[in-house]
Amino acid sequence: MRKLMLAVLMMAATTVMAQQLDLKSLDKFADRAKGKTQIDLDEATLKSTGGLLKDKKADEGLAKKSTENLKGLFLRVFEFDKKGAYKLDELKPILDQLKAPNWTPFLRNKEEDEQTEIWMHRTNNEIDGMLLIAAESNELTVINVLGLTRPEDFSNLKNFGIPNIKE
Amino acid sequence: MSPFEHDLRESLKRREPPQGFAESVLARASAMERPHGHIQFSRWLAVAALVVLMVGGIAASRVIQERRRQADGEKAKEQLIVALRITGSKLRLAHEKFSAIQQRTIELQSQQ
Repeated sequence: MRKLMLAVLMMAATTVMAQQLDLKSLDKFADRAKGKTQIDLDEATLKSTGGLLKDKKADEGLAKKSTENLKGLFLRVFEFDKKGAYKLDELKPILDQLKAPNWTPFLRNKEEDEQTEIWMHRTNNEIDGMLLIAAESNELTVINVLGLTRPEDFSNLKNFGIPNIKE
Repeated sequence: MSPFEHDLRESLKRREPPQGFAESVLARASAMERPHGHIQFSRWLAVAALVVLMVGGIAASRVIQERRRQADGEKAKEQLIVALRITGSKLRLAHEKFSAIQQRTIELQSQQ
């Protein structure tokens, strides 16, 4: 029985480690949201998808470049049909996880009913992940990107989706 | 020797079989053992059909697996593009906010 419990705990730990964060506490927003987007792309999926992305297609070429070092991308977006459908306090389970020493805040901005936070995850003092929380009045976005190590990874991600005028 | 004894001796006397008797017996025996030509052909046909079905089944399952793999890959690709678009737009928004904070800080510092 102890062995089984240990195995379950180890499996749970591996899952959390693979995501850097446990996003399960966000599931509660799904019932209240009118729209929900949940994307979980682990390293294996990202690697297999990389082979399908064509360099010639602008979007796919940039996606390939942006994801070549990524080890995971976990995203949750909840859209609410009215303001105040959720409280910022409800993000406490996520924010509590950021108290771990390997998380450092990069940007924290709170304005009225909006909150934007970017946190960096470090392993052996090297940045290897990012968490973005964009809590708007009627939309909540939480994104955990694993494997972001170079500044160009950030700029590639930031520039994704901007139409190229030259094309 | 009585006529009865004579008849008995005659009937028990060893007689040589006719010419080619052994060959004809062996030929008949082997013909009885071997199935007819059309039965043999049917057996081969059944085996061949089974082999064709097995090979066809394996090939079909590989095609289905490959199509499923491709479909999964395409789905993951679409998800990745969506995820990157959302991440990009949110990072730009955060960057704008960060720039606005910096601007305000610079303005405040210059006022002081």
